[in-house]
Amino acid sequence: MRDVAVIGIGQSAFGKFPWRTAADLGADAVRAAFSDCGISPKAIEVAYCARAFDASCTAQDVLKEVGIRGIEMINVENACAGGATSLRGLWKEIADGRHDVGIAVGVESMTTSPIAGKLIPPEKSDIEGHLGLTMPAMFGMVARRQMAQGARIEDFAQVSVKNHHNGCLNPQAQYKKEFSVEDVLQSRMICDPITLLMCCPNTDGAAAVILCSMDVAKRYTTQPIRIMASALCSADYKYTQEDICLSPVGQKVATMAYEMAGVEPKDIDLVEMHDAFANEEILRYEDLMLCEPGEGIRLLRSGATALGGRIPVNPSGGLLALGHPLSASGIRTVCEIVLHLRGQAGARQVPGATVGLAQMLGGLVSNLEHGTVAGVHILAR
Amino acid sequence: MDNRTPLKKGLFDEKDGGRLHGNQCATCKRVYFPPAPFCYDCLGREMEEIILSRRGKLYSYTIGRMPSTHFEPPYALGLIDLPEGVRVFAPLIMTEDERYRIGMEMELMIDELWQEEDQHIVAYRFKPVS
Repeated sequence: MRDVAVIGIGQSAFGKFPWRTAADLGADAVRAAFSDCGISPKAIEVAYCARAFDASCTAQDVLKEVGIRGIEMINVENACAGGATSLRGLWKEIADGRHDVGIAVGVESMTTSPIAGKLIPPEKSDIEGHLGLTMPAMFGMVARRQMAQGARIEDFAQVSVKNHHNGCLNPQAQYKKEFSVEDVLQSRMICDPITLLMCCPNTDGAAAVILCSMDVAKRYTTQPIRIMASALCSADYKYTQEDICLSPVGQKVATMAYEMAGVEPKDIDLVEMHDAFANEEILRYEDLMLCEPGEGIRLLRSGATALGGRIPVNPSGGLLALGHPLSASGIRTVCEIVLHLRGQAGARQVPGATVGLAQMLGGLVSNLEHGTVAGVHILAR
Repeated sequence: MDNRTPLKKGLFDEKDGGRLHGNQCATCKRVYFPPAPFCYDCLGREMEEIILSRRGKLYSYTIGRMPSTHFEPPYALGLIDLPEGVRVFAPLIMTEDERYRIGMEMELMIDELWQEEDQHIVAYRFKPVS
């Protein structure tokens, strides 16, 4: 297996743009990735593109905008892990030696999707969806369990305060506004005890990364960022998730990624993750083994996951401040890690970062664990 | 009463105040609700129908404050652990004081939950044991 490097990253604006097409947003991200690394679109040999809603040949639709055609293009859907899936697909092509240079894109137009302005439900055929189960309802029930184990509602609010603060330092964040714990708690109740400011917003946006084999990378850049691990796995049946606060598949994928990278959780300098709901971030600290089991709340309260702490989580502002264009987020998180490893993250830079981890977890399917697919990438300079 | 349609056939009946239908693997004894076509765990093909207990414990809950597909807010939702070892997601009745708590004893009821054109959709929900 060959070493694979990220050489170019790009992101579109993130926000509510119902007048813009997915192809248009995707092309912005792709153009940004090309100008980041200076290679020609003609160098691209293979493309992966993730999109969840209204998808039909999105890779072709996006890439025709920048002159890429006539190559192998693969379109994928994997809920919130779609972007991570597209990146992993491309990584495999290059690691296996099938291709040398390729692009992975994630794009979503949430404001024009069938679920615009709604609480994301499970698949239409799911009985539980008809009976009222939505993503925020699930995380409301998870939050009640966390509170029974010692979490306070102020802890959830603190995650939102932290990530919105980070978002103020990120020119690409959708929301650049500081909030207090009080503000978060007094925002509109969505699914008790989850308030509006504990939920990631519906957002349009796209992100792209250009990968190539490490030997080819050296032709294009003096700062290739190495992909140390790429791991993706789907969940087990629901009966295995006895405690809804734990993600068996999230833990499994984290373990796979650490083993593949040959690093331990303590070696990670920063994490970008799926904070679709503020209380979720605390659970994922434990899945990713950033702390001992049951110590997530203590890790948050210690300030370790804030900028300047031992292990900053979501220095970009996370899904809470950037918004969550479903399939774009898994690529966008990798772009953020790359910026830090290159020392280009500006006011939110994690000083001296050498190893970063990008995690995604998503999907709500009847009879399976909630969080039906998990993906983790570990990158290093 | 011919304008009552069950949400899905084979999940419940209205005898004795309402009963949920599950099934159990004849080989490894794992219990499923909704009934499974085969045992997902040991892949055994011999499944036995069982009637689940009407009472269970509230594992967790939330109060919805934004509309879902069929419910206008506020509406209560919960996960109920039944003694057979299954956890059921279901709407809960909306009590005025909303005083749900984890571990509370809950009881099944069958009800018309929403309307689709001229049909009343009948499904299950839970209420606190009074």
